[in-house]
Amino acid sequence: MRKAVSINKVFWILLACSFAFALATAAVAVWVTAKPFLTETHKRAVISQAKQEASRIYSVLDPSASLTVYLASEPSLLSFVIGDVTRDDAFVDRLQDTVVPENVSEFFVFDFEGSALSFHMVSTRSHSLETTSAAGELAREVLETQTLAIRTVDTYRAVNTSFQEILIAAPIMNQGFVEGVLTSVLEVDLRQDEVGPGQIAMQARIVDADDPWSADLERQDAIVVPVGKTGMQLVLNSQGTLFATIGQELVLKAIVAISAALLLPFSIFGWLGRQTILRPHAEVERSRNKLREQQKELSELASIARKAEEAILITDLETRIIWHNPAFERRSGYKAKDIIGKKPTSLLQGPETDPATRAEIRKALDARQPITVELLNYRFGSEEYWIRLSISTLFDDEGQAYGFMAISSDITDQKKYEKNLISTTSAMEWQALHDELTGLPNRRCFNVTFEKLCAEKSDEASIAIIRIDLDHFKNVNDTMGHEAGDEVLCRVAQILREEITEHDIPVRIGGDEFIVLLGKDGSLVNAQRLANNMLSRISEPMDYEGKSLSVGASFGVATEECALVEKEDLVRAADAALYIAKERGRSQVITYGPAEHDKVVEVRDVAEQIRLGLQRGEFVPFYQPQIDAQTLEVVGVEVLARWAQPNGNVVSPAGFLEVAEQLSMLTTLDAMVMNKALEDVAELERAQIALPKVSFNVTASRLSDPELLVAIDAREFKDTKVSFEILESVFLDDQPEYLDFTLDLLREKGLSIEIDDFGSGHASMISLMRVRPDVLKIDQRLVYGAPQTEVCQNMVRSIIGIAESLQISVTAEGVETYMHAEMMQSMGCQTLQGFHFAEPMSFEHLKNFLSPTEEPQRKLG
Amino acid sequence: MVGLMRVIWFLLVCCFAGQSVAGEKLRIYIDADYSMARPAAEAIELGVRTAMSDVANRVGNFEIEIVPKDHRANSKRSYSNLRAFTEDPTGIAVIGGVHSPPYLTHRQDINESGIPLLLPWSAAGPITRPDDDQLNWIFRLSVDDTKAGPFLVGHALNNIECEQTVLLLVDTGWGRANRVTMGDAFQAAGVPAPVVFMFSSSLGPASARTIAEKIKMTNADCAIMLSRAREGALLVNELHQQSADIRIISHWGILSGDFVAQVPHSVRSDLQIEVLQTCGLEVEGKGRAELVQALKNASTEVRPFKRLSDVPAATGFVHGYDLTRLLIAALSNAMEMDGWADGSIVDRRNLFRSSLENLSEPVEGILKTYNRPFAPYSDASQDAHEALGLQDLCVVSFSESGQLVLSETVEPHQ
Repeated sequence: MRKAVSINKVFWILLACSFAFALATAAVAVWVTAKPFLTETHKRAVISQAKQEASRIYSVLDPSASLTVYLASEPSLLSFVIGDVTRDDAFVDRLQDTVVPENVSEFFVFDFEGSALSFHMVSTRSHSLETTSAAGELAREVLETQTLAIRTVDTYRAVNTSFQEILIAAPIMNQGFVEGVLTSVLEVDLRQDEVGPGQIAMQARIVDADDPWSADLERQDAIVVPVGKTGMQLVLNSQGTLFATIGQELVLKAIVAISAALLLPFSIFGWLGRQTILRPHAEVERSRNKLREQQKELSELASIARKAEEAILITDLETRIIWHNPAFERRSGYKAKDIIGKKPTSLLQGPETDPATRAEIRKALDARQPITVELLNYRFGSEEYWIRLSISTLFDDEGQAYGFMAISSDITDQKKYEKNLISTTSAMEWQALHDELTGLPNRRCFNVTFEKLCAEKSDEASIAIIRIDLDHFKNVNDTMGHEAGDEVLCRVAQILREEITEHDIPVRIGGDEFIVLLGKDGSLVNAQRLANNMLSRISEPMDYEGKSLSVGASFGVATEECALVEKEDLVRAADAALYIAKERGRSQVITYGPAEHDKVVEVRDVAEQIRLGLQRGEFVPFYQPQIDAQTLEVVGVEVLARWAQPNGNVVSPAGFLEVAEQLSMLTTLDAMVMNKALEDVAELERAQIALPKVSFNVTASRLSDPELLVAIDAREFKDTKVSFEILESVFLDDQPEYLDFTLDLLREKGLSIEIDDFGSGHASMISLMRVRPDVLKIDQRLVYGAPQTEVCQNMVRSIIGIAESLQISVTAEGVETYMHAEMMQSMGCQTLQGFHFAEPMSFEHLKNFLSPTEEPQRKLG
Repeated sequence: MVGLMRVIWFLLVCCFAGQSVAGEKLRIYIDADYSMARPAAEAIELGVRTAMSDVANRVGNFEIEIVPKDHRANSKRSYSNLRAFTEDPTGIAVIGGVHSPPYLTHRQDINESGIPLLLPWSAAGPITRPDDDQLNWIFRLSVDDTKAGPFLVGHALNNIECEQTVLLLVDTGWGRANRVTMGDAFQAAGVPAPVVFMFSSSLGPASARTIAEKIKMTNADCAIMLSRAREGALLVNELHQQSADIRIISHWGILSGDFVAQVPHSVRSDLQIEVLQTCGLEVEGKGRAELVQALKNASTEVRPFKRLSDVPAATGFVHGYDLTRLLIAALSNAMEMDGWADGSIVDRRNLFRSSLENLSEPVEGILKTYNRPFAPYSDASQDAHEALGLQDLCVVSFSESGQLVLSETVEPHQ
């Protein structure tokens, strides 16, 4: 390959060299033959250009010269020059009224001796000292010659500038006698026009005709042309430079032109060379390389094949063996001399070899298609072994098949493993899909089957689900032991099996819960009948070890026929019906009908609204003030959750608490209300509105929520004390042990603990001493009843007595009337809370309520 | 021995003295317009040389060399000539040319530089009247415009009884000064101020024509003209061309050049051109011996002068001669003054100036016998450097041949 590349390179380099040589030769030829002609042509062109330039300069000089002569004859100038007047104001006036060519920059006035009398600028350009000196010299010359003279300021000769200053001096005559000189200074722009294609940039200078320098220039072959009748000459840069430029341009253009001319033939030559020389050569090289690589590969393959574990055979098209590797000998048990020239079928296959596989192999060989099969072979015609056999057809370079290659690996062990695995897997699969105790399909099996049924679209069959839950099954386990429970479950399973048809599937989905899936005839009537039959049989007493066992069952039935829910939701519908059956007293069959559906939908809607409400932050704190019973001042507020719906309704907890709890959203809701309340209290503090205490209702379980403590720690107020109201249920003995720790932690953080609804029944004195709350809030039901019943009064007095003995403050809730207030005060309640003083109110109302200016007069009556 | 020593001493003294006498030279510069007013300049030079020839070009022990300088009516050239004089250690005096402007312009410099300037034919009044108490180095033997102007006005109003006179003045210091003096004269005579036409010293035919047309439009019957010959000729020819019915009374400035050659007799006659002059012709008429002798001395075989009118620009000749006579007298006196012998040229010029102002002896001239013609100048004696006065003025006219003849319309000494 490398060689091919180098030949390729050599070809192109030679071609490029030939091209360059041809180019150079042609350029030299052009240069030698065309130079004299082109030089002459260029010279003429330059002279022509120079004449044009000289003409242009003359057109600038001539009017200026005329003007200078004209002004020199101005009588007022003569009067000034000969001293009749001391100032040349009249001449200046004359000058200002004269249109002066723009090239003219100033005028000098000289007297008869050539002394400068005055000069007048007519443009913004200023002259140099050299100009002044040159003007003086010229004036003296004109005084002598008495004729108009035009000269350059020759100091500029060496300066490479595009402008040149020219002096025009005219004699000031007085009756035929020269009495002074008027000299105008003008600037001639020698800048060349933009040099076009084929033109040569020239540097021009104007020199005086009698200037010896111009003679030198002529000797240097400079191009010199006269500038009109001014006696001046325009000199262009020396021909040496000029023709060097011409030469360069000539060669450059020749090279470009010849390049363009030679490009096509050389391109064709290159293309032909590539087609006729390089490409065939490259093909040969590629073939050689390929052959070498193939030989190498074959050598490597042969080496690999010899060392391979797989048995490799190479046969001719008649499947006679022509080559094999040692592994084949080891596998087949044959030696080389026994197998060369023989067909593998006769050597290796036996009676148990699958004829279909053999036919498949033959078919693939005939079609020259590769094939991989698993085949039973025989070693020495007796010992069986399994191989995985891959056969490929071998083709030569021209694509002609010349043999086959068979590679086989021994899979005897794998075959044995698979055989064992199949038997094992079948047992495991059954176990995975069935309940071990009852032998009924389990929940997994039910899910698969149910999903399958749901996926099938059938217009005829309808599905029904019967959900079964045994009543009081726990009692059986608790009283009779788990064996009895297992027995009950097995008998129930048996009942289910016996009651259903072959199209129905009984399932134990866990514990004492069963489902019967009616896959074929899931009509409502059939399902109800079946459920009732099963209820009837399950409810019958069972005999166990001489004892009678009795369990009941609740049934929830949901059918596709009712068309209340989608198929996929039938299980949930049956669940709902079962829930209702249990609610209604168990041991009954409830069908999921429209009434049940409406209830479910309602709960679901409420749940959805609560979810949205939480997303929108619609749950807000309301505040019910707590009043000191003696001073009637606000001593705190209790935070109560309210749902401020977008339509303006404010919903009390009764409208959402249960559903929220079912949905496990209560923690989120509480956190939202608490955070807002904490912000509100912080705002009160910033507004310097005093609030001694704020109380939150907290469930015992939420007390352990770390986020609760984080939120409290992050509060942005310090003057208002935070209090947690915990339901009396915390005193139940089964409350977690960490509750005490949590309460201690809260106290350390400066929070107070209040026991809410105290007197509703759970408290024990021991627990009360354990918790050591700061406040007891008397259950409002006791407060309501106090004015009417003595029992309630006694209860309240008892609670107050207990509190006093434990040095705990008492708050009376539900103080709705004057009588309630007076009674609670007289009984010794320190704090009163209820509608008699204030209803729960929004934050805005609370602010007004607490505001010193708005604070209403509170009285017990 | 003592006698021999005396002889040697005497010889040495004589030798050195003789050498000194024989070798010393004084130069008199003539700064005149030899170009455009060549006749006047040459007439002056002729007068000077004639007077000098009377003393064999020697004054005292000094040879007098005449150095003519052409100023071409160019004040700056004139000034250049004067500078050359100041730098010449033998230059004793300058005789000025026919034009006033150079000396009007450089009067202050002349006085500051101490140049004895003798003017035979310059009319501008201020030339000989310095400002600011300057020492006055300029002397004139000519008609002074302070006299000439009123004289011409008086002639126009009284003698030829002009009813409406215009002034035609060259726009130089000379013309502008006369404008003032003549204006005053008209005012003194109780006549309204005349229309004044000023023209450039480089006047051309077109401008002359325009002025002539304007003069004609004024319907003036007289014009008093101050001009040099060329411009004057142009103007009168144009006036004649315009058929203007006007009479011309001219200052003598037109005589400085070849006025007659440029103005035909018909024009001179039609316009009745009269020219102000000193009274040389009257003197000739009286046969004054000095004039006869001077003409004789001035004559050559090629160019004999039988009459004064044979001399071109005769006024220049007469004034040049008379002024040179005064110069010789003053120079002779100066040479006898203390400080002359050892004085520098500056000292000598100063002695010469002083001597001019104090000529005690009468000096005979062509026009008259000059009795103490000059005196030290002061504000009180404004005419102290004027050798001639109003009594020396006459009016002449041209004969058909162009010679000046006494005008019939006026008597001298008016």
